[in-house]
Amino acid sequence: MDYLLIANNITLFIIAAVIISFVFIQTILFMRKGWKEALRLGLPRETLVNTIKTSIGISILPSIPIVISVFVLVPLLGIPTPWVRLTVIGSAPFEMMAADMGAQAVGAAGLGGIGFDGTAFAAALWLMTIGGSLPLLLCVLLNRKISTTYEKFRARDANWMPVLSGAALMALIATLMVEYLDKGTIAALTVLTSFLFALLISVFGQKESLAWLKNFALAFSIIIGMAAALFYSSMFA
Amino acid sequence: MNSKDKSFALSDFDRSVHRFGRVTGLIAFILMLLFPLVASVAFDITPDIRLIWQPMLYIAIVMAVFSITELIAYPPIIGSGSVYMSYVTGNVSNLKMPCAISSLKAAGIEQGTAEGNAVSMIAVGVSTIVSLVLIILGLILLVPLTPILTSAALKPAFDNIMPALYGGLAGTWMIYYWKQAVTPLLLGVIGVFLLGLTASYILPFSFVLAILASRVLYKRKLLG
Repeated sequence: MDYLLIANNITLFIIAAVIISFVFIQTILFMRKGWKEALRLGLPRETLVNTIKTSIGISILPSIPIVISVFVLVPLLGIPTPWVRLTVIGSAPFEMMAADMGAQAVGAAGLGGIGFDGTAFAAALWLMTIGGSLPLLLCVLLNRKISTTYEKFRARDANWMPVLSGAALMALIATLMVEYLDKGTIAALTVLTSFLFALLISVFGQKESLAWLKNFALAFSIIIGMAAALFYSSMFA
Repeated sequence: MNSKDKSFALSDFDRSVHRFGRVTGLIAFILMLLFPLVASVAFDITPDIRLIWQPMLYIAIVMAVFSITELIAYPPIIGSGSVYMSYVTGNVSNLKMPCAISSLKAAGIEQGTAEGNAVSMIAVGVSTIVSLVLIILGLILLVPLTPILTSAALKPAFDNIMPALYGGLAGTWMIYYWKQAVTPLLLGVIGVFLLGLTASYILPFSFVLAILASRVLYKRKLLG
C-alpha cells in the first residue's frame, strides 16, 4: 500500500481535526481567563481590544514561514500530519529531522526516499510526536514549580522581577539575533537593516504625534527587512 | 519547608491558571500521542520498537535539555499562563513571545508584571489563532498559493522573515535594555563566531550570565 494513501486517509484527518479543535478551545478558554484577570486588575476594556488588534497584525508575517513549511511537508507526508504537527508544535526543521531519523531507523533511505513505506511513515510519526510532545509534558510537570519560584522572588523584592524579566528577554533576543548574523551575508544584512529601522521607529516614536508608529514597529521592520533581503540578494546574485 | 515558604501563596488567578494548564496540557499530550498510535494500529504499520527506541531516546534527551532552558527563561517574560499556551502550540521564540512583548509595549504595560502576564495570555492566544487559521487557509489554497510561496523571485524575502523579525525585536528592545543587552550580545558573538555554537547551546549560559550581570547592576542601583 502506498504510504500516501495512509497519510491522507480520512481517519487521520478526523484525529487531526479533533486535536486542533481541542487546542482552539483551550486557547479561547485561556484567553478568557487572561481577559477577566486583566479587567480585574483595572485595565480598561479598550486596551484589551487594542491588544487583540495589534496581536493580529504582529502575528501574520511570522506565521508565513509556518505555512510555507506545511507546503514543503505535504508532498512528503500528506495533509493531516503536517497540519497537526505544525499547528500544535510547529517547527519545520525539527519535524523534518525527526521524520528523517524515524524513516532511516526502519531501513528507508530517508524522509520520502527509497523504501519510505507505511512502516517508515509510522516511524516518522512516532519520532515527530515524541520530540514535539515531550516539552509539553515537561511543561505540565515543571511550569508550576518554576513559576512559583519566580513568584517568591517577586514577593521578596517586587522591583527585581522586571529587571530579571529584561535580562531573560535580552538573553533570548541577543542570542537568536547573533545566530542570524552568522547565516550568510543576506541574512546578516537583513538583521542589521530591520534592526536600524526598528531603532529609528523607537526614536521617532518618542514624539507624541508619532507614537502610533510604535504599534507597527515590529510588522514594519519585518516588511522592510524582507524587502531589503530581496534587494541584497539581487545585488549579490 | 521553612516559615518563609509557608507564608507564600500563589494568587487565586495563578492557581487557577496552573490547574487549567496542567489538566488541559495533559489531555493535549495524550491526544497528540493518539495520532501516531491510531495510524500505527489502524493500518497495521506499527514500526519495530527495537529499531526506533534509540533515535526516540536521542530526540527525547535533546528536546528535554532545550525545553527545560526555555521553561526557565520564558515565565519571567510572558508569564506562566502564556507558557502553558505556548507549549501546546510551539513557535514560542519566533511568534508567541515577539507577539506578546510587542503587544504589551503597544499597550504601555510592562512585561513581567501581573498585568503583563494577563495581557500576554490574550496576545499569545491571538497569535495561536492567527497561525491556526492561516495554516487552514494555506491548505485550502494549497494549489493557487504554491507558486507564490515557493517562487524563486520571492524566496529571499520569505527565507529572511526570521532575520528580519530578530533584527526588528533587537532594534525595538535593546534601546530600553541596553545595559542588560551587553552581556548576552558578547556571549552570542563569542559563542557563534568564535566557538561555532548554535543558539540552543549558547542560550542556557547566556540566560544565567545575563541575570547575574543584571543582579550586579541592580544591587549597585544601576538598574530597576
